[in-house]
Amino acid sequence: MRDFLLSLGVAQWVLPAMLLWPVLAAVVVRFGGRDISRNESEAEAPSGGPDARVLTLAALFVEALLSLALWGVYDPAVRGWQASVDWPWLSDIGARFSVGVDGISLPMVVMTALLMPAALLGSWNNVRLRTPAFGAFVLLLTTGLVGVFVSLDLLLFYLAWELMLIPTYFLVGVWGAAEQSRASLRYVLFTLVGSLLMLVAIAALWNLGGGTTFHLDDLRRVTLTPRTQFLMFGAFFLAFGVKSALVPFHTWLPDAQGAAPTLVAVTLGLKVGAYAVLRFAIPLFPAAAAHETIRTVILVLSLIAIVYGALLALAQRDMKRMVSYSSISHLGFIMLGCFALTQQSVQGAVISIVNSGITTSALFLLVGMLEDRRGTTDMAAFGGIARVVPVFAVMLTLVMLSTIGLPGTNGFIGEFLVLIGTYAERPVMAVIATSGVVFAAMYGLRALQRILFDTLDEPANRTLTDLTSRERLVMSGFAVAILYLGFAPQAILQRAARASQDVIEAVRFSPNAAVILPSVSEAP
Amino acid sequence: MGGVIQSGQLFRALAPELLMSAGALVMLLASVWNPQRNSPGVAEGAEKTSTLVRFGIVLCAITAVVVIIAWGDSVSGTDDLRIAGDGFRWAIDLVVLLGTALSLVLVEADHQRSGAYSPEVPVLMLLAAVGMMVLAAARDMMFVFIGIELMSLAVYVLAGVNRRSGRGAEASVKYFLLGSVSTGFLLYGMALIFGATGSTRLAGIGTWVAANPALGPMFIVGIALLLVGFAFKVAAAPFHLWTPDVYDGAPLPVTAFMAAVVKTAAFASFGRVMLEAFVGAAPRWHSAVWWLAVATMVVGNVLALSQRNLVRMLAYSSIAHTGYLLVAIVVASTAGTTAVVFYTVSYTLATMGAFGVLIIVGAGRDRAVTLDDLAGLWIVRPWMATAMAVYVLAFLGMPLVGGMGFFAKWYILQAALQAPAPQTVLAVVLVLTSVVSAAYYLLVISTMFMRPPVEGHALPWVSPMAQSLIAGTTLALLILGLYPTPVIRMARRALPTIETDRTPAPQPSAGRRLQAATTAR
Repeated sequence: MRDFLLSLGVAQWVLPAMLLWPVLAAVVVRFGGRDISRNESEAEAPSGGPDARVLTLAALFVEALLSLALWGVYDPAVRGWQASVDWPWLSDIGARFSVGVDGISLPMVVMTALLMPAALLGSWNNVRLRTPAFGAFVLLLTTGLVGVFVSLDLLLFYLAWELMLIPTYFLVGVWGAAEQSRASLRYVLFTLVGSLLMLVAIAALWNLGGGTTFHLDDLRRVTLTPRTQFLMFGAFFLAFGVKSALVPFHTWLPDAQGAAPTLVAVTLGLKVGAYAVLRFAIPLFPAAAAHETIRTVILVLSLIAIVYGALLALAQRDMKRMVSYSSISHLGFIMLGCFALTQQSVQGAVISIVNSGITTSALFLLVGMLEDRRGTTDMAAFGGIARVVPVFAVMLTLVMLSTIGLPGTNGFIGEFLVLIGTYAERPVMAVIATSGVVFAAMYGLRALQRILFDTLDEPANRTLTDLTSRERLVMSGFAVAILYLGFAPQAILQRAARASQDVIEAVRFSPNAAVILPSVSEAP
Repeated sequence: MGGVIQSGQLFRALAPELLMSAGALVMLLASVWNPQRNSPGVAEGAEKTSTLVRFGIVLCAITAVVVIIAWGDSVSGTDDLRIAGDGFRWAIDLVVLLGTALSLVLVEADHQRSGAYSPEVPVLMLLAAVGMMVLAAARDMMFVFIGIELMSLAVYVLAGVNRRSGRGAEASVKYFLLGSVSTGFLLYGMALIFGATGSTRLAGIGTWVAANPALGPMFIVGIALLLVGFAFKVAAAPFHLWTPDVYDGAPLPVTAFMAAVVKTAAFASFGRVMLEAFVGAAPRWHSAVWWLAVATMVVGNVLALSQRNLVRMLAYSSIAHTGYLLVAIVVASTAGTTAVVFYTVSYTLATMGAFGVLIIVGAGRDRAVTLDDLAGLWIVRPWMATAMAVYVLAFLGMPLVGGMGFFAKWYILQAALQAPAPQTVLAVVLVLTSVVSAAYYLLVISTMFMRPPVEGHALPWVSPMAQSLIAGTTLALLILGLYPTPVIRMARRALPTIETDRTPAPQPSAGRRLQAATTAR
């Protein structure tokens, strides 16, 4: 299979294609798609063309196929960037269109590209207004997400990073729930504070690097004083911490996800920021990342996120907000894994990013299905619906068990690796983090009980319809992914092993590593 | 004999300006040749305005061609160093001509509906443009003064050109009074500097500064007065107070002209004077401009937050952009002038487009356009709302969706961080105030996209002229946002002639730390 794909030259064009295709498709969807809401209200004549949602789905499906081709050409035995493309772009400042994947970004790209069509199909009737524009924004957002995962050039990365922002702002603001524009504005302002400071850091780093290159590999070789590293790491980490909603920068996430349409809540839940920490913040500024104080602060924040997020999840009545807080708690595990700085913990963080993408999305889709049927996401409005909608109940139980981290589901593998890896470095922290699993069981099982198994007291719930065949298709896809990764995570682990090793080696042996330079506190 | 050669050289060096003036005077004659009868509600001679506007646009295009030819031939300035012949002048000329042509398009777009513009309007705009081109070329304080006066007098009249509007009259008087005061400061500063140095030529002053590092009080007071005068002209805080009232009262095309083109020319002259004459004295004025930049960025952005009147919001936002441009002046380097040229191109395109949208939405009423007028614009006029979103995102400096705006900010940041003494604190202030600006720029977007349209609001009529303006500026912004290299090449070639023996500017900031890192490398 790999030989066949290589004979097509896939490695040379698949990444640019994955970035450009959604943009082209967005134009087609915007101009050629039909707005179904115009058919329903007979006031206006229907515009021609196929349903915009179908076009969007088809475009996302093509994107998913491209990502599978990328997976196919990837050679796990080879170290470094693969399928990389390096085209000139802005010659005067040395920015290049430079993209590539390694064992860390490959799973993220494939996960995202597969998730998008599934999420659209799973929330098919969630958005019915102005669907051509909706589809166009979703496709632009896809480009942004994929771009963040594959960019090796820091300027290109910044462009993709901001490209996630504006479409999300529109999607949450226009298609979201009431009093939405406030939530979306808050999201943008929070994110901008971080990302603009990161832009200053990128400019400064580029300048120190001679002003001729933005490539990650080149900039890693720029020698930085500990103090500079510290400031730049701060700017990068702030951007990534806000984006991934690390405590204490998490407050925007539940509001935005609560207001957003289901599909956008799914994309907001992707741990893009955590990936960026592994890809940029740690390798570029290893001395700062490994510095005892900074590392301890971040590790403690991660622990707080694990426990506090789980406790807040326990306290929520609204299902969407509960899922948000559970994803904040999961992010704690991921950050713990990133900054425990052992190979196992980093590997665990990588697979946890994928897992949390899968399970959080599945939860949001399930909640969205309830919302589309009942118009509410308040847990009190449900109860005892397992008898009415058995298939839904099975799916929700499975996904919730994966959130809890039950062995045999994907959630277990990531958290287990993170905990093992952390135990080697910081045993006490590992023990505290383990308590997060217990809290997860508390909120997860309690939610299951209140939604599925209490008394069936609401009359509206007696007539709920079970999952349609479309929803069954999507959810069984998620179920397969959860169980497959739970029993056979090697596909990802094997690819992430080498790259995780590289991250650790960057911290230990790169020109800027802590062993060579004195610690920050001793700097002049 | 020498006088004859001199004047021949002078004519050659000022060819674009002379061409433009001649054209404007011919248009002026044409406008008064055959006075038309005055019908109520329509300005005198309004029938001829459209023709003259079109003629003016063509004249701008012809002058631009002359400028490009002059640039290509590398026409030098005069030997006595009074008139510049460098790329900076030609680049600013091109930006000014682009802005003037787009302003004329705005006039036409507004005129096609209201008929409120008399034929003098395009003539005055062109004369103001001549003043700006003189400003861009001036390497002598006297020429700077002539340029500023030529530009300002025309713009004072333009601000009050709508005689039936009380707000317009107020704006015009305010602008005239405050503008005259600032010109007074400027002139007094020039006089003191002449007294101290014995020269009005920028090069001469620069030589004197290099020879007399002690400077002396008369010179310092002169620089201070000059700074105040320029700060008035570019609307830097705390000398910005006239801006919102004047912008709000003047007709919208004139406001756009003031916000983009006048600012461009004033900055060109400001930058050239600071770089050529006073760069040796940088330690003395550096911190003043530094604080001016910080104050302007903060004041502009914070005051814009509370505005619901869109023109006032854009006025405060234009003050904020003055602050960003001042950052490029602070670093006083060639990277800074590159950034100024690039920034003004992007800012001109976005401002003209945004005012085009306001003109359409305002529908010729003599009252301010507020945010509520934009409510639900996306549902009524989806593409116009999309274009407006691109303009405000360009103001905000978002990459890709805001097009060129991002690179405009990038080059300012780059200049700030690349300076011999990196201005890291200024860069951080710049981005943090940009976050503040996001709040009001996104308010415009959320009003257009996330609010329902007002019931019973008539669909605004879009003239073909306005349509092409909006489409053109939006596409230009987006395409140059993906591939800004052509403009940056132009901006790069636009390095003003500066002496090389420059003393590095002082650093009142944490920039020292980063510099240490630079030297370590």
